[in-house]
Amino acid sequence: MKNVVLASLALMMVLVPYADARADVFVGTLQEHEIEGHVSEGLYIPTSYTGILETYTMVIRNEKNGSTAEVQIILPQGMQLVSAEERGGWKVSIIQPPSVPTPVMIWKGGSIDKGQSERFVFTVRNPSNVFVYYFVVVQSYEGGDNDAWRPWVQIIAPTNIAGIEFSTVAVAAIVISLALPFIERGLARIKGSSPSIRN
Amino acid sequence: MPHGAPELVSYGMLTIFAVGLIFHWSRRALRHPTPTEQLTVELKGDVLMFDRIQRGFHWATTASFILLILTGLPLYDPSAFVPIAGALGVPLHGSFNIYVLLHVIASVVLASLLLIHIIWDVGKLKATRLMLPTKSDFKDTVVRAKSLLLGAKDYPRINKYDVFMKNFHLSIAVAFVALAITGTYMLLYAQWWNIPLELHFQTEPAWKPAFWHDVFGFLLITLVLGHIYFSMLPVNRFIFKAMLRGTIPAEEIAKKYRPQDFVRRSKE
Repeated sequence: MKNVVLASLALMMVLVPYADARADVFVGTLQEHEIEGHVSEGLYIPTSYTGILETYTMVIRNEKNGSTAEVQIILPQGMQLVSAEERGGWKVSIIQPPSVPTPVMIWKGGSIDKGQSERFVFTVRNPSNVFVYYFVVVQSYEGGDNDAWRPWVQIIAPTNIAGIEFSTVAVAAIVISLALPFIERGLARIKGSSPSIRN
Repeated sequence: MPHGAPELVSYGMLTIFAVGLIFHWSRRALRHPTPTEQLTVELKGDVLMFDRIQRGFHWATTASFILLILTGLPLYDPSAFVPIAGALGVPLHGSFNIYVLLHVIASVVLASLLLIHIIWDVGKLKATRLMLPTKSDFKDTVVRAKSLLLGAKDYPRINKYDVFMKNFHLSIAVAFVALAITGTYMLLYAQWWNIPLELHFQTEPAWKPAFWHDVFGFLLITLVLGHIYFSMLPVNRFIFKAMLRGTIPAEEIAKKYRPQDFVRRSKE
């Protein structure tokens, strides 16, 4: 089994071209909706932060006549797998390095019929470097067909602290600092004095 | 954008500087230091502070700078501009090319203005020496720092451009050069706004022009923030008016300046 996975992995890395992303990577609890075609063409850009624990939801849709019987998700380099969920009859087996270059999750036991979709949820520790990272998803059908593609997520440096965006803090500080001279003018008018040397 | 400067660096720079300005105001608003240095020359009437070319350059630069910020910030942090763009009904996502075009136009205008500034102030007025640091600048800095931080009573008169203004001028000059180099490189060789997001990293050379463009861009915004703050202080209102009218009353010069730099201009 391990040899099959390794061989598939090697084949995918070499032969699978960058294809339309038919699965979406959602970050945390953001609105779970399905975007057709390239994720990057929509307004929603999958984004997460460096070094944090993040839960990803991969939505797999079946557009073929046969049922989807197996889903493999291969994590990019630098991402550490923490856990993967089992739901709706799907059982997951996990293969961790060093037996494979990067963690692999294989879901079996369930079924996705034509026109249906299923969500596969897993938690990782994000990489510490800012970059765009590609997952590899292999969707296997009854009858032996496979589809593979590479959805991506951009990992960026944090943009907030305690839920407050850095931009918000900066704007607030700027507004206060620029308001102070006008407050000083107003106070001077109220007191009826002209400002003396204060610089 | 993922391959630009981290928001902690860019917005952090602005926040720290703004907090510094708040500290400055809190110290100055409660205390009223006046120069303890004696006046050596007396001027009379209205003295020319900024001529027409200098005033025109200043306000034209202001306008082009505003356009640079309004087009540059959405490119750096589109998510922060989504509500603003929505409220104004202007396109954002998918229209980066328009923002880049306006940004480039504003930067070309700014470069032309800088050329006029150099020709006029350096070539015609020979005013370079006003921007070079002098011994008195270093002495003044120490005295003023003691006054601000320790509450010392000594307070110097200042030259037309004190050490902070000279540093401000030098810093914006350095920032403009860095922005011109990094911006031109991106325009010619790394047009990240024309390719899918996930390929941005692949357009970047090792020296990361996008990162440095963001850093120096925010440095420039930080410096201008300080400039606006000081120009709005009530004590500097005559200088602000001089940037509109050109002249400043001699009594205002006598309050805090060393008049030597103004004697030369009042004779011209």
